[in-house]
Amino acid sequence: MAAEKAEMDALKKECDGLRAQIEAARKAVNDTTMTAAANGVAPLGRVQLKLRKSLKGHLAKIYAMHWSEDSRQMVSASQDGKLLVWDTFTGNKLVAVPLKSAWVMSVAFAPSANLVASGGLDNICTVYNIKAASPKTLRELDAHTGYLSCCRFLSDSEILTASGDTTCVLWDLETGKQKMVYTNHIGDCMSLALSPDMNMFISGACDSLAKLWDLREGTCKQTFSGHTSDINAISFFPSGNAIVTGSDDCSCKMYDLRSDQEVTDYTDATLNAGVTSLALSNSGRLIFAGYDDFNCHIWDSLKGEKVGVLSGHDNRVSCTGVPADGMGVCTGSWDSFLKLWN
Amino acid sequence: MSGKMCSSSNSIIQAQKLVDQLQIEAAMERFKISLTAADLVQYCQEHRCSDPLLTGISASSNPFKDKKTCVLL
Repeated sequence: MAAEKAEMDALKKECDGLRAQIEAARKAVNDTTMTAAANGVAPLGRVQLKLRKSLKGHLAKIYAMHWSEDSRQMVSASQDGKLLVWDTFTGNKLVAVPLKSAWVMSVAFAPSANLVASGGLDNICTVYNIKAASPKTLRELDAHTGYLSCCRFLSDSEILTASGDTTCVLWDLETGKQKMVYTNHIGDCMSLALSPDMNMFISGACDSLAKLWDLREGTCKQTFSGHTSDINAISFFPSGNAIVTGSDDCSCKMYDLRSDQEVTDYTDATLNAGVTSLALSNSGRLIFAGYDDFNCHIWDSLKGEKVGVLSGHDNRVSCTGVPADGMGVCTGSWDSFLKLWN
Repeated sequence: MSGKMCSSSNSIIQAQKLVDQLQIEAAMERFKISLTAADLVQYCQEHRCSDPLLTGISASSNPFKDKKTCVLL
């Protein structure tokens, strides 16, 4: 018993030493702030986007939405038990997928647009073929021991999921089996995003940490702290060198991957609502963040200033997305509507 | 007695895993924020022109804007 205690004490000492080493290394490169670096950049002025369409069709709270890579189709998920695939140019509904479990929390469009996936409190990620005459269940990925909070396709044969069981999983859609399990978070995983080069991904969790993972090796490469509550939303900056997070602590943060630390904090004394979702414009300059205050606030990512707001929803904005061509923003809400702005 | 020892070994395994993870994270090369932030600024500036939400979208090329039909009299 004494030997084990001595071993624990030694390991704890080693941990403390390593943590101090990491903090010192971060401090050593902390020679300026993003706001200072962006001093010479012209301010944006007020960014005023107009509401172009309100998509009506769901009968209950919308929890998630995801754009197709064609920047025209979009899929939304509601706790009315349906996934709806929309043609955002016309506002028409193209496909309705009835769900086995209405408690959906996440939805994803495959890059090919042949498949969509969803999951939630059933702990299962279900993949549907929407190109068939009527939507057909392709796979039920059932191994998580907690709710499915987020899913993203790499291709028609691989999908990444994040779960309330604190793990993320890479699945092989041909076999329906787990290819890799990513364990390191100590709180429910709430959100994930793939790097532009598809070699890495990031996850945000209820342990208030964001983690960068090597997709193929399965290892956690970097851990980002600073938030004081659950991270609900996470996204890569388009260059792949930075990440943006949104949290229940009412702030968004940008972390640079190469400096391994927070470089900007997006907070406003008047904003006392949690961040539910976020998306970046194509240049990375604008951050669209959905909040519990029914609005989507727009931030200048470089200067750290609020530059606009998308107002119109009658309840919490639960999901936000910018299509690949960057031509607009879609917000989804508990008020059951999706809105398109540009 | 054995149950307690099991949980102690588990704690040691967990602690070792934590040390291993911290070693991975400690090993990375970090770059000065003055360089990395400047790089992010440069990226935004270089891609400004291809960001429709910054440059604006004309009514005729706006995919989401409801088109009004033209009536030829």
